[in-house]
Amino acid sequence: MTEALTIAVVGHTNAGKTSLLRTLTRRADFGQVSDRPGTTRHAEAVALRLDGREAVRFIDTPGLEDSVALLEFLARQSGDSRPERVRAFLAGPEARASFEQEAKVLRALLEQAGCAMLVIDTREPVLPKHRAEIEILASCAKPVMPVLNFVRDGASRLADWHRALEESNLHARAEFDVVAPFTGAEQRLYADLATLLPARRAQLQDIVEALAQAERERRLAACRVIASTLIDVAAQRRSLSAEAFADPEQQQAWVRDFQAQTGRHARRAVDELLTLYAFGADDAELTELPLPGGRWEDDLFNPELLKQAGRRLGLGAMIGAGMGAVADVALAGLSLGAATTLGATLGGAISGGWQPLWRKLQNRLDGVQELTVEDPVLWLLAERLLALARALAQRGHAAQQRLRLGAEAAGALGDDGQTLIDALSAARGHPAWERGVAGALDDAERARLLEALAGALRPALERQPA
Amino acid sequence: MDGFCGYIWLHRIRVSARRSRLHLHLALTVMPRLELRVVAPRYDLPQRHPPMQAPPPSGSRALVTDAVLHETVRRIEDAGPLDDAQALAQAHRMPGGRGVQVLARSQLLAERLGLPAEWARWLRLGAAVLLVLASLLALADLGLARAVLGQGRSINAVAAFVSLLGLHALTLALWLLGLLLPVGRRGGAPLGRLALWLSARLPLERGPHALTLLRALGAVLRRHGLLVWLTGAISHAVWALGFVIMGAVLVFGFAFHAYALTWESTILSASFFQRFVQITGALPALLGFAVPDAAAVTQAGHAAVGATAIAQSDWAWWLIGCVVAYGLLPRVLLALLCGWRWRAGQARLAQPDMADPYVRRIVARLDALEPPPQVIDAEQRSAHPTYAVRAGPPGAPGSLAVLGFELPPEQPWPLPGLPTGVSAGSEPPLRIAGSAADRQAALARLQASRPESLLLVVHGPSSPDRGTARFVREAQALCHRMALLALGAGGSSGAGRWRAWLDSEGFEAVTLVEQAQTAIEWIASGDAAHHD
Repeated sequence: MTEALTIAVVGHTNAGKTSLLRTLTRRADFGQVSDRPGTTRHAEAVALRLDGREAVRFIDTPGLEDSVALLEFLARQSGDSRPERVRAFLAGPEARASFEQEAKVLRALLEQAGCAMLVIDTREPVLPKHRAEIEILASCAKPVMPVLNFVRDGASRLADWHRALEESNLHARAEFDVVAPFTGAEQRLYADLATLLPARRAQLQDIVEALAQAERERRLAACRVIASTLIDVAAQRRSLSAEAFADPEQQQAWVRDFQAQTGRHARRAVDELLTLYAFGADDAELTELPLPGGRWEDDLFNPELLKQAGRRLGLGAMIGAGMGAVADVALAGLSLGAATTLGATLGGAISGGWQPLWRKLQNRLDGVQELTVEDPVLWLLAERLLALARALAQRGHAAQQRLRLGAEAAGALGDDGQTLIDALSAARGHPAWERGVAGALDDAERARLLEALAGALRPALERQPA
Repeated sequence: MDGFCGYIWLHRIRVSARRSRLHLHLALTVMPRLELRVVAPRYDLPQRHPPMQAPPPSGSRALVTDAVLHETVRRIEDAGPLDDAQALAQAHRMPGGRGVQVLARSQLLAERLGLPAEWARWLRLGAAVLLVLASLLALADLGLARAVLGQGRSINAVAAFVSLLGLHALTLALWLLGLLLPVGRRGGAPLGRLALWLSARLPLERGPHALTLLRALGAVLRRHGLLVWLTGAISHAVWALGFVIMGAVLVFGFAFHAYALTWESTILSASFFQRFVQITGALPALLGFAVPDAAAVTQAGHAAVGATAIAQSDWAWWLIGCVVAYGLLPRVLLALLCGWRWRAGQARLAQPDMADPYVRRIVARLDALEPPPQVIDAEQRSAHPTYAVRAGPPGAPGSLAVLGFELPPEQPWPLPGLPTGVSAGSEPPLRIAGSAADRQAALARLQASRPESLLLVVHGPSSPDRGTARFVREAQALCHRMALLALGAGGSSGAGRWRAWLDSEGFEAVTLVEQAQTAIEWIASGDAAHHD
């Protein structure tokens, strides 16, 4: 294993250097990010670790703020070459006084880094101070990769910057929105860097592959989290004795408990997805998320949303009374009379022994009621978790505004929804498949269904939102 | 004896047909030789190996053990996380990547839970069960061969062929069918399930996690598609052993007893038997076994007529050759194939499934143990120079200069609706892009005109920086009072940012205005002060 590549991240103040590093290292807690100028005033090293190994060592630097004056000052230094003049400056007194911040940048680039990533806020007009910055960086005789930030912003002056960079002889460049990176932008960034650092090409190629691999793993893991939760909720089944069922108060409490349990399953999935994408639930920036507050879980039983989901499922107005949970009172004690559920119960009986069917008949004789979750709830849950996973996958770790999931959650499932719900009916006959209840059993059948569902969810997760 | 053998044969059919579960059971019994390598102190000296190096070859034999223990711990943690702070830290010190560390953590937790001992006990139990089963099957083959030879001195050759190889052909066909059809692998065989259930519950100092261990093994082998190869290897090996015994008994019987091998039939002709012997004998003939010719076959049909000894020995070699070529050989080859696939497939167990949400959670916690980002060049705030900022000498009363500083190119200039300042009439108010020459020129002009009021127009959305501060400081010394117009800094955050910056840089005296209208009012306020 070769030594980790060291990259100094430089740029004008507030261009998004620390944000870039948060996104690249997937650490939402790195450094300080704000729109105040000069937030970072020290040089700080942070590692990009792939599979536990340090692959890249980034150095976050303060902004080059006083570049025009510094360029003049550098020109007055003694030395035959530009790097020598930079060294002379660093040895001089002003490197610890007027140009202390700039000296940190140049010291990091000259003495430690193999190359620099120059972060540029493309919303800014191209000014002499920016040209001076580029010239100063060029004086260090290290490869410089311009990283154009905020390229999707309406105020972006991308063409101006392209021209300016070419005029400064910087022909390689990468576009990277640190708050909302494009899919694969990260891999492209390192691939582009290889053109500047031919000696490190193999190493950078390894990084690109490791990143792609990690992304695939995260995506599959997200699908599994969602699939497992859907199975939990589909398998959810609670009984209530005939006497208790007759008492409206007890009945209501029972339904509320049931809904709360569904909410807990949803909550668990949300937490797992946040962890998976390295966003902590207790992350200061995410406390404003509407997700952990519980609103989402409540929404699962919102009558209006259920009705809409039911309509999309082709259930019409028949279901969607606003309860979201169905008491199992239909024919012969088999679930709610829906053919799929009956089939699932029988299927479960065949593959899992006759116990479920026997239990049902027994319940029927004793007048015991069972509660299961309606299909629209599963639909809503799948849609929301998918939308969340997709949003988290797209989200840079520098994003500070709320993650809003509203309208775009609808339709996240696309045409696969019906297939998904049909596949989930297999779980209805297996109450033991619900994780977290006594007697929960993660058997081969559950594992098979989980993989099938995860496979079905994957295209939906990979699809870019329109 | 016959009745017992019949039971065993029947049992064997069911074993092969529903192989997956029971063979899983058999599988475990072979593992002591194949896999058993329990808790060698592999984690005692993790630091000996330089980092960034693959872990010491832990031996592919331990791969199954590691994978099963990991899966078991995973299943135990489904009910709630274990206290793993120490195990996690210890695993984190292991070289070799996150996958290895995750397995190491599971291993350490498993040791604490006593799982390796349980696993070893389980393997021993399985070995005993396999031994019993293999001896029973060997006994059955022995019985079968003796049954063929023990019917008196006359043997019906074709019937012997069918009874020696029929069962084997049937089970082999079922096995191949199961291999080709993925549905066949589902195998919810009640007998196999019962066997597993019993093994896990055998009342021998059973630990609390025996059942979980069993399920974990099944899950691991199924997930990696190894179950079919392991069970295949064992099944074929046992069958091959049976055929060896069968062949030995046949050779012994034919060597020291004189048998008359015949055929008889009510409806089939002699030519059928001739063809049958010819076709079945083709493969043994290739292996060098003698095969009775057509005349010998016809002759054997008339058993009453005394057959020659040569023809009888050909018949015996044909029967032995068929057992070897159609029984022993395929089973040995398949056993080798399955064994090879099983060995090759074990490499897949070396790494846990990194796309498993459980593994990702542990990886995230391992990542959190990495040293935090480290400040390598700290801020030295005290070294910041503090300038004495002073307002310049008063200029001509009421004189005004407007100066655009680092404005975007599309900004119209002069600003519509704003007074143009001292240079009105002669030349437009100055606007500079910010190069060193520009700055010098602008300062020189201020030096010359000495305006009383200076309105500096900047681009609000841009970030104020120390370059701007330097210019403001130098310009402030050349005028009496100064205002900063942050164009387009709309919203309180934009303006607030500039105000906060002015204050932090020591420009409390500079007025901040956000709109042209406010700027006009600020200019007018200066005029008013003079008229007072």
